Amino acid sequence: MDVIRVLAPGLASTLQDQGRRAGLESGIPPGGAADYLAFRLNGLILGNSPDCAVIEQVLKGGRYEAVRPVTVAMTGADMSATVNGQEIPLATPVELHPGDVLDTRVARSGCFGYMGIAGGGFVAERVFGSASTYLDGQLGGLAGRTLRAGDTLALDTDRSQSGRSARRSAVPEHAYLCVPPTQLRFTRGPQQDYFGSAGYAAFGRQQYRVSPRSNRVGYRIVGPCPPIWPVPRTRDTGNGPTDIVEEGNPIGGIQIAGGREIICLGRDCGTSGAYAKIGCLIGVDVSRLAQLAPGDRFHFTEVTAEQARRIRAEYQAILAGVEHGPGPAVPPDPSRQTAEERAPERLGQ
Amino acid sequence: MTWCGEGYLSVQLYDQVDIWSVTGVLRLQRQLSQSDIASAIVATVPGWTTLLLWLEPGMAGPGAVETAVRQAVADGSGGHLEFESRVLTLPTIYGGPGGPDLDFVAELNGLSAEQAVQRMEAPQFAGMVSFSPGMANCMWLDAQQALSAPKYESPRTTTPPGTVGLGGSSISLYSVATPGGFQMVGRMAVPIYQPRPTLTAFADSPTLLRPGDRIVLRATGPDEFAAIRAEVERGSYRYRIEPGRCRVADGELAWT
Repeated sequence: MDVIRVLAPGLASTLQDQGRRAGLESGIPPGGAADYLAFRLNGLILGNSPDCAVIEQVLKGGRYEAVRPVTVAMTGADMSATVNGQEIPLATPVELHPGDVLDTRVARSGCFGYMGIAGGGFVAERVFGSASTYLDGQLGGLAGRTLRAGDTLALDTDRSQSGRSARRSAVPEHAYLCVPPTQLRFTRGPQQDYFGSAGYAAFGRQQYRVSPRSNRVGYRIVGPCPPIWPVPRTRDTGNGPTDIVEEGNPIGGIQIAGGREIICLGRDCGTSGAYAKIGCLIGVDVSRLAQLAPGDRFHFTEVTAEQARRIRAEYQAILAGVEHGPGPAVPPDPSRQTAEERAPERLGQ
Repeated sequence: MTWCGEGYLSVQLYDQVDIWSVTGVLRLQRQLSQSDIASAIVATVPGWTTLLLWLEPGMAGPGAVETAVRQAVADGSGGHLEFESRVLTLPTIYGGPGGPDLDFVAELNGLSAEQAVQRMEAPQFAGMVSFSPGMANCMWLDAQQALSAPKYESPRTTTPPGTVGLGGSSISLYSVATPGGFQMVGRMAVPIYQPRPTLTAFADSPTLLRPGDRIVLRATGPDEFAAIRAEVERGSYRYRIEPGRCRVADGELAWT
C-alpha cells in the first residue's frame, strides 16, 4: 500500500533498520541506522519494532508527499521539518493527509535524521533478515540504492508492532534533542604496541573534527595523527607504518590508514582490514559519532571495557524507560519481553 | 585477547601467517560454535592469525567468554580438524587494463610477466571471506610459489569488481567496487557476488566463495575472456566447482 511519494530525495537518503547479523561471515557488514539511539526512539514513538524500516537522511533531507493518510515521526538530526510550510516538532507523531508535503532541510544540528511511519515501517528488500540498505553491496532497502525523486514507498504491514506508542513526555530531553558530542569514548585496540603510551597521550590531548569526506562506511577524522612506534615488520604485514596482518574489523574501530589518516569504521565498513587500530569506540558512541557534522570539534577519551559495559547499560535503561514509561524498575515479566530485551545486541552496535 | 569497545573480543592466536595459522583460526571458530558461550556469539570473523568475536552483550559475562576462549585454545592445539574444501577454477585475464600493476609486481619479484602469471595460477587457499561481500582473501597453498608486493601507500578510492589484487603475500579477489590498497594484477571473467542473481551458482547465497575453499585463477587470453563474459551476460555460465575436503591431523595436511 503506497503511502509516500519522494519529491526530492535529499543528499544520500536510504532505508535502514537495526541491521543484519547473518551476513558478517560472508563479508557483509551489519549496517543499520547510523544513530541507533535516534532510530530506536523513532520506532518507540510510533510503536514500531527494530526491524521496521525508516528513511535515514544525511545532512540534507528530502521532500515527500503523502498519497494515503499516514502518521510520521522525525528523530535524530534537526532538519527543520515542515508540513505544508508549518514547522513540526521532533520526536512527536504527526498525521499526514493525502497531498500533504513534508519538507526537510539542511541539518541545524546533528547529521543523521530519521523519518519513520506508524504501522510497520516501509516495505524494503530484506537480505539476511534486514531491510538496511548497503550501498557498496547494492543490497537491501530500495534495490540497494539511495532514494530518488519519483520513488513511491509502501507501508509494510507484515512487521511486528507493539501497538502502542511511547509518549513524548517519556523521552528524556537529552535523548531526543540531537546534541553533537564533544567527547567520543574508546577502549584501546589490539595494536597498542604501534602507539605506546606517548601515542595514547597525544591522541587524548588533541582536538579532532569529522571530515566532509565521510559516509556510512567510514568517518574520516581531521586532526593530528598520533605518533607511530616503529614496530618490527614481518613478511606478512607489509611495509607501511601502520600495516598489520589482515583481521576482522569491529564497528567503531579507530584505524590509522597509511600511518597518517584516522578513520572511524562505520556500520557499512569492510568486515576486515589491514591497518592498525589505536582503539575502538564504545557501542553508544558509534551512534553519537554519527551526529557529528563536518567541522564539529571533539576529543577522544579512553575508557575501560568495564566502563563501556556500564555506559551501555545506562542507555539500555533510557530506552526501556521510553518503552515502559518512567518509574521504578520492575522485575521483567518473561511473557512481556520488550523489543530491547529480545534484541539487546542492537543498542548502539 | 583484547576487548574492542564492549561488544567485540579480538583473539590473537599466531604470530606468523601460514596454512597452520589459517586452519588454526578456523578450528577455534568451530570449537567456539559448539562451546558453552555459543549462544552469546553473534558472529565471528576469521583473520589470518586472529579471530574476532562479535558478542551479544548480557548473554555471558566477559570473564566467562575469556575462560571459554582460553579453554578452546588449550583443547585445540594438536587436535584433529576436518573441513570442506572445494576447488573452484576462476578464469582470469592478467595484465592489461584490468591488471595494470602486473609488470611492477613481476619486476619486484625478479620475474618476467609470464613467470609471475604462472605463480598466480598456483592453487590458493581462501582463509578469509571478508572486507566486502563475498571477497576472498587467499594465500598460496605452496608457499614456494608465493609472490609479494607492498600495498598502495594511499588506498585507491575505488577498485573495479573482479580485480585480482596482491598485497603482502596474499591475494584478494574484489567482488564489488570498493576502496583498496592491493596491487592490481588481473581481472576475473566471472562474478563472485550477485545481490540479484542471474547465475544458478548464486541461487542460495549472494556470495560464491567460502573460507576453506581452494581457488585456481586460471589464465585466459582476451578472446576466451570475452566469450566467458558473454556466457555470464546470458546467464548460462557454469562454474567449475569440485568437491573436496581438508584434514589436519598430527601436524599434517591432507587434501582430497
